[in-house]
Amino acid sequence: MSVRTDDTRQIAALARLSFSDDELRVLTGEMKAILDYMAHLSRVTLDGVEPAFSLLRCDNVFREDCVGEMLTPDDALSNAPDRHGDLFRVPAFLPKD
Amino acid sequence: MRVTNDVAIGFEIHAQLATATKIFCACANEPGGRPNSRVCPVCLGLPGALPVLNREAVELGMRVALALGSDITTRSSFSRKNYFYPDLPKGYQITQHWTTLASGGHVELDVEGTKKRIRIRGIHIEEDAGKTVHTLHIDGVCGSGKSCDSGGTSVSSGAHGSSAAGLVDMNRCGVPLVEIVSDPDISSPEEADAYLRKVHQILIYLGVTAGELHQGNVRFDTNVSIRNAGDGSLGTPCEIKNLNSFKAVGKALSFEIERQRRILDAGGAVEHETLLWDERAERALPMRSKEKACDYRYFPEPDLGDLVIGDDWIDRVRRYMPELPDEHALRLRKWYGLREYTARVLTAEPAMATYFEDTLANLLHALGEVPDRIVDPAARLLAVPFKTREKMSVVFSEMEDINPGRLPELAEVTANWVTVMVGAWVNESGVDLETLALSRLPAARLALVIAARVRGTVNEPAAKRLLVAAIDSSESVEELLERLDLTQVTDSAAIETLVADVLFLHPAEVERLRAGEGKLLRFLVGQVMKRSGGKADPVIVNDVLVRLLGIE
Repeated sequence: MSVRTDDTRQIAALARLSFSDDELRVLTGEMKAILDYMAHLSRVTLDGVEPAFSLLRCDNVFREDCVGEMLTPDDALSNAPDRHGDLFRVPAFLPKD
Repeated sequence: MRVTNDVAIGFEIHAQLATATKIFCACANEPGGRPNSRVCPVCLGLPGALPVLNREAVELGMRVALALGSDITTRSSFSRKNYFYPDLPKGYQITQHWTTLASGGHVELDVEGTKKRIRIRGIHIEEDAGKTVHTLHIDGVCGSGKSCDSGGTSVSSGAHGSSAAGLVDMNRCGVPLVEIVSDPDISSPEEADAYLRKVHQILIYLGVTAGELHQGNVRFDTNVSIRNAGDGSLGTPCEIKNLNSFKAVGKALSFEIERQRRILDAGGAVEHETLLWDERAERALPMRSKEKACDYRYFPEPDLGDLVIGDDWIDRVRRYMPELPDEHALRLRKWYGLREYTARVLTAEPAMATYFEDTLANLLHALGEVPDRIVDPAARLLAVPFKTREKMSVVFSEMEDINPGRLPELAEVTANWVTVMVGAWVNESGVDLETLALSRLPAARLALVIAARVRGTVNEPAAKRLLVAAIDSSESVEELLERLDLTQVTDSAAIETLVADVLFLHPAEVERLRAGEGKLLRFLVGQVMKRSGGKADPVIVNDVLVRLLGIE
């Protein structure tokens, strides 16, 4: 499985992380090792095996549609770095006007 | 000019489900309210909180699937769609990606007499995002600005940069959504409008969503491409997001089709782009490059097990499916002999069609026209809300046994009252029909107003006054008739006196009428009506005039 440094940089950017070139080289190697390991799967015969998307062996865990306890705005905002009234105040993310 | 079927349009329709609670936690699913008051550790994405699926959200989604003829997937699963936006506190949206609640199905359209089938690709359930309000610059001062949000739909990596701040309300985080994805089978803005209205109508009939577009209960994303002239294969599609009204969709589609045609006509190639519709500027603008990074890095949601739906569950949901718009329209035609057009108009909104049926049943009772068993509202209620088909066919066959008599005529009259007269009042007052029907003008009361007109107790203008009075006052319809002195004058002798007065006062007009100016008859009828205070029966007035003047 080939992973290039640029792939790692792109993934880091998507995750809002920035690394030095040295760090990127190390991470690229580690990612490659992980992907190589997972690539074993493609060598296993999977005839008749249904794809699985969950490792939890519990189907259909439901809640009934009943309102439960909720936080007060003050509790909800208690760990927020900044607030404005009952609203979270966050750095700007204005879309293009 | 190019042929119009070279355009291929598809839609993603997101509808907020009308559950009591959110999709993965027990917070109330209600609009409005104090910001950040309907939140908990789960929907705020606090560490250690775990989602648990709301059974009702699944069942409402199943209803949608069954209504659109989709196959419900036996085993479906949830995934995380990762993107950064301040209204998405977890940093991912829980949705269904690889295996969805349902797949296949279709919506049947009738666009100006032409039937067309729009295929449904898939239906899934997912969570909504929070809401953000942008503030207008100036540090420390928070002028409330324009509202914008990712709305649980793929606005990707937000871009920082301006010095303004954003304010976020998480009440909407985790509100359940059903997403209906169509194939690109739509070939014009007109068809797109018909498709969206049809799906919206079905969702309202199903009772799965509040369905208010201006409240953002239902939102649309669209993809547009132009087929290659040669082989008819699909061209590169562009997506337009942020469409919150039927009107916006129409404008956005026309704009985008025009834009792509211009590029292709100039020999260029359409680039795959995601555009955001700007309602005010009426333009679709490409998202900034950073926002375009549509790499959502889906992976299976490790905190939720699979959703397994067996036949017995599907049967249970199917048994309680409400009547759908097409079925309702057909039944209105069969039961009451309505014209197809009238049935379509009435079923545009289930509230209107129901109001019509209740009013008609009451009118028939008031007039003693049809045996009780047929129009007994209880029998109808038994047959309608739950699709017990056997029961409906019994009622149908009972209907066919009797002579419909004046039923089709009375049905059309009632439909006209509901859609035109009451409709006009509703449009003017801004009070919605459901509220009106539940408070000031119950079906039984409207039926008495219509009965007064049908019996000829009042004439047309007086009937309109009676309707307004019936809405505005709490007096009985009989009391209103008396107090407002609306009862139609049908006494020929009284009318003859009025006619004689008018003939005396308008000799010139009488002369011209006799000389052949036929339209003056209407003028004279009008004068008599005026002198009667609007109470004379215009048909009798007309007859008396013709008789006294000795004209044809």
